[in-house]
Amino acid sequence: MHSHAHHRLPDPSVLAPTPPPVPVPIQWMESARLEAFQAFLASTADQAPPAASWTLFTLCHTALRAQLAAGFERLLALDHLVGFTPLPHQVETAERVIREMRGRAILADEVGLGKTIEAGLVIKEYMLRGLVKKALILVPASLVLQWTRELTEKFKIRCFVQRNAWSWAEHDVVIASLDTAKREPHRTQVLNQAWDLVVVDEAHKLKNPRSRNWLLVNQIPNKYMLLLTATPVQNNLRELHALITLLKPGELGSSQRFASEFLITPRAPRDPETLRQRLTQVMVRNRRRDGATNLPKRHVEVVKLTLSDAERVFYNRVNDFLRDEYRQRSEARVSMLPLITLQREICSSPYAAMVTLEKMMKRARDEELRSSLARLIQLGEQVQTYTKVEKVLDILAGLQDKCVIFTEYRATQDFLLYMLRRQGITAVPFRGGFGRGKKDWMQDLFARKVQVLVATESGGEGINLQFCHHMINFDLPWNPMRLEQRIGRIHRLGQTHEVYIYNLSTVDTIEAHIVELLLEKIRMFELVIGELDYIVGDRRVSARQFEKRILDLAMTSEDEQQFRARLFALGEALFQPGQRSNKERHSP
Amino acid sequence: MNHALPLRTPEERQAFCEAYFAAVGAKCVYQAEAYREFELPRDVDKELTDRPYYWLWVEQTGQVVPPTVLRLAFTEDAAERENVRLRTEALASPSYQQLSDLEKQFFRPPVSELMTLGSFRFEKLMASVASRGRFASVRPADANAHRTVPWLMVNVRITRRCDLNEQSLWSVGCCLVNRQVVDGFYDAVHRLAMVPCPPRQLLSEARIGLQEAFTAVTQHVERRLRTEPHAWAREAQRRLDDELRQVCTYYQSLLPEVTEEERTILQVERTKKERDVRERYTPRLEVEPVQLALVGLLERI
Repeated sequence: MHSHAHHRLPDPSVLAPTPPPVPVPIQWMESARLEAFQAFLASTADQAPPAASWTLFTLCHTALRAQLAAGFERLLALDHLVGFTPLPHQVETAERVIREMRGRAILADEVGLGKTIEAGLVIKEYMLRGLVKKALILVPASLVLQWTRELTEKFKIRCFVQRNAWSWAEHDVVIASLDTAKREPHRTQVLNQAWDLVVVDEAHKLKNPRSRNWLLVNQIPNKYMLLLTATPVQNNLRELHALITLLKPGELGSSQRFASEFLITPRAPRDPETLRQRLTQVMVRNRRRDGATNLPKRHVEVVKLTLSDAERVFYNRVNDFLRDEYRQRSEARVSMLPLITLQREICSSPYAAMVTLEKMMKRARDEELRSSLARLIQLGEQVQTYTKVEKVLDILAGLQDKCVIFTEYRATQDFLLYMLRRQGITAVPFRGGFGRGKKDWMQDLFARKVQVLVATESGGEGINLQFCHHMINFDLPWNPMRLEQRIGRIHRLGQTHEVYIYNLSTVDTIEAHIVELLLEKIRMFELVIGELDYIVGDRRVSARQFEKRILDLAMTSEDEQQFRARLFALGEALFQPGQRSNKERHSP
Repeated sequence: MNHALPLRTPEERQAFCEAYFAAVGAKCVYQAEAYREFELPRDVDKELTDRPYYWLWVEQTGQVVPPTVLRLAFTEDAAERENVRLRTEALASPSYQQLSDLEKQFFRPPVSELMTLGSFRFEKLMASVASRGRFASVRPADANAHRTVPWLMVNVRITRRCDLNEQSLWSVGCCLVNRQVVDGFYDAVHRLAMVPCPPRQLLSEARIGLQEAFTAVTQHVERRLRTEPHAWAREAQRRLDDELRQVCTYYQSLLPEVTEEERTILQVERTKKERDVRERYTPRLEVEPVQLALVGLLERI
């Protein structure tokens, strides 16, 4: 495209006073047009041009008007969608991003509300307006195909999957994995292109400003930038600073200034209101509780179970053991980590606990410890009936439908698969450690062939199970965010059926109280999750800390009643929106 | 005023396509409600189908190939309905019956194309129109060419642009006899029934050259742009200044904490960020002549 400032001759015919100076220089584009026109006239000189030429001229005028980037009352992109209608919150988000945030934003909708659609709308709008030609979309390798499909089918954006070092320069819209982009020879190529728009999906991978991910994205030239993540902050408010610095360097000052000005501690903001105010200028977050979507209803049922005698004895003994250990470790100031694990495992299944007990046994030097561990293992071996597993088989028999079962533990997973197969129920495993190919394969098997998917990984990127309507939580993650992510696998956009979620809860165990705390008292599913993972004032979301806190309560309470009371007091303090007293904080 | 933009309804798109194919001499070979089939002449075929190598091969080897038929549906209902028909007809045709079983397995009946904004074919058609409809030379159907006054019509696309843009299409006419400049020229001309006319006939009455008239138009456009409200530009400029200041402060605050070597890296990074910020926010006014025509008008317009 040639352009040059047009020569401005003084015009003697104009005697009107000179208007105020234009703050903007005027650029004339494609000024060769006149010569082409003269050539056209010369070519037809004595003959009339073809009869249809005037029709074509008027059609061209219509086409020009149709393609005009008109005012911004409404997204142009909306007229270019076929076969799908974005939801109101998605359209609103795209409009805000373009109009108010000037194309630089964190899209932080909850899982399953369609961040990809929002990004697609923004990309399409800029492309239609001619403001974006070259766009780079960086996503986890597992999501490359999904993005390609969405952009091509829903938005008719011609995009290309990066294949080699030339792809970056060759195509206008390139979809690639962040991991590839940060390796040579790709890195240099990526940094050498003048990208108009850069999109990073799963942008929480950019939370550390010293990481290669962050350093790469910080160097990529761009006019517009969208960062997509459901969890912009996981542990620490500085992560937010890292993301915003990519969008607007200096918006929150340097890292040091941010810390001194905005934070009391890395988890506690000094002035949540101000910080939140600043955030709304760069971040959009839609939540289910705000009525962002009309997903089909979600039924949550707590399935109460009573342990068999053998299980009860085992549970009680392990609990006694935990208390002793807790006291000793507190005095010796050694890590509580194995105890937290054991405490959670014993809630999951005796089988899961056995694995850890055996590990502790192998490592134990102290003779007394060894013998008490040996006694526990012996007790565990005496458990013959597995109440939870029986219940799962019961539920499955009643369903006659596909079902996903979540557990936190590999051991429980293996055991469940074994028990299901023994009953002639088809089941496949799913876990984080699987390669992408295997994940896809398992997902596919579950969709087409088998009845049950037993999964350990909840946050698993890009596993979408909309075709499944039932979920059993064999045990619960103690971190409510993880629970929501689990449910998001089936209860998400595209789900057309009501979904049923069964939370197993064994009476008179810590688990029962936690289930109650998480589900019944707080009604987290419908209500609190938005508050809970809300960014500012979120010193609590650290999963470790939360788990440690629960262990502390469990181990230091005199009895069940006291534990329950203290747990609920914790719940009140943690989950009450807007009321965040500092004295609730505890030493790590 | 987005709803007033043309080509937003299936009816408009259909009328547009029909006018186009009639103008380029493509025969309509089948029609049904919201559905048309057109047989393409070779030159149109080349513009609407994206297959340069095919044409290279056809022309190099002197092949005789049947003309392409486009099957265009303007509504989803029509597309579905016609797909069923096309399939039924294809399966009943004698040529299908003669296929071997294996060939039958791989047989794909023809399907219709949905003509929507942004669909492949419609975009191609728009591009074809853009190149074929740039220039014209016309006079009113009921006028004698020698008794008309020649005008130069220049249609320009104005783009006001910062991080967002807004475009408008202006039509300016300049009288080739008395240098008078008029806005809204296309709308006035469009209302009259016009026919193509040899340029030399129209130009015989001209007193000033095309170049001079074109310059008069550009001066007029610039003058008009200068008197427009520029609040948007001032605001963009302010945003640009703010953002640049912020980048500057940010990098200055980093400098004291880093080594000499890191400082050089930071300086480079800062220059790049400043360039990106300028690229994004700098207010610009772009003017692009998109259509030109010689128009003869009756002396009394």
